[in-house]
Amino acid sequence: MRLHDLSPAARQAAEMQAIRGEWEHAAFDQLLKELVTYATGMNNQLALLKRWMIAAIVVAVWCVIAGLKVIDNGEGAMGAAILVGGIAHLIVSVVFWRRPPKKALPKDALAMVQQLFRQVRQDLDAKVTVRVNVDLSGPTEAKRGERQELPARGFASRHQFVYADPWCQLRLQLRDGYTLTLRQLDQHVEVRRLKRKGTGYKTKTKYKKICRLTATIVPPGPVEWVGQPWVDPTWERLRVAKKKGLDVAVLDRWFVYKEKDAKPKQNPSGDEAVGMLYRLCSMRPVEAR
Amino acid sequence: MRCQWQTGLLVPQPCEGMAAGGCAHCGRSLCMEHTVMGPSGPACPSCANTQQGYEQNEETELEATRSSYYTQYGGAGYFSGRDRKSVEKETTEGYDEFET
Repeated sequence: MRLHDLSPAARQAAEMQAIRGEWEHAAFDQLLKELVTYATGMNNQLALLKRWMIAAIVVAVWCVIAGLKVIDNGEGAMGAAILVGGIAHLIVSVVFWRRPPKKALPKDALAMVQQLFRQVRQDLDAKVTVRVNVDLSGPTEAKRGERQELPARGFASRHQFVYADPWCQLRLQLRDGYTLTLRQLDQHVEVRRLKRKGTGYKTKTKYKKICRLTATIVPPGPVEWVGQPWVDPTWERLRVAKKKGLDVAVLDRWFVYKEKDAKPKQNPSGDEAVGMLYRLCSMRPVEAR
Repeated sequence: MRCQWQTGLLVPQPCEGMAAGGCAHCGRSLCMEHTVMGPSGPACPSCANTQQGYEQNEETELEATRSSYYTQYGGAGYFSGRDRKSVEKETTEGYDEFET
């Protein structure tokens, strides 16, 4: 699916890399469906382009080597033609390779929102719209924090940058009057190590993505929470907080992803988010369930 | 007669549609929307998931996921203790989980 095949709302969201505002359930479902299809297609296209570029560079290098061998064998004109063609191909391939890549929408993040919405749609109050603020631009330079120096630990220097990206906010009104909110804060940690190597320095960068998923359940009025849901003691935290005079139950869960060469693109699945909402809902008084 | 299928995951409630038939396996009354056709006759989404030869649709997929939530929710130990420390360290300044 290409950009111009999308509906006006989906095209606007794809161009802005954001979904904002209040949405009717059917319209939101359709929007997510289109954006997930578009993001999947775009990601596949970029992966194909990357493979094609690698093949092009290999062919170009092979042409240069073959050209030199043909010249050695005494066929100067033919060898020169292959050599020049190979060099030209190599230059064009490298120029394309070094171009900043086209920005694709984060497929995993969109899939999480879609999966979550599909699962809970039947539980929502049909008359109340879904409030959404989803930023799909990822860890851009604007979200980068200040440089933090780290202990050198045998390296020439170590420092890190943290990109704080609170990209997802959803507010869903249930049929029974309770309100669920889901927020996700991604922190991309980029650690750079500078190592002395012979006469110069070598930099190595490692990436880590820490996702904090926060689900809350807001009661329609004063309520006494009764259920005690299962909570992973290592990676989850359940608490009851006061908000506008109401006791709001809050469940946090952390996820960590690591990569060596690029910022991790993985995201918690929609099942994880639904599981959190499900456990929060089990705290409601019996008459509300 | 009303359809006896329950919709929803977080706030389950009976479907309000008029029953058009029944499930050949469990016998509950079903509306057209919640009837899945297959080789052993009409079935509810739950029976369609357990019996062979029934086509999968949105209702059967939702039912399959719903069943997995209704069993005890179990988490997985995803991370090392070192990761946990880095979680504790990270700043969450300016992040308000209520602000939606």
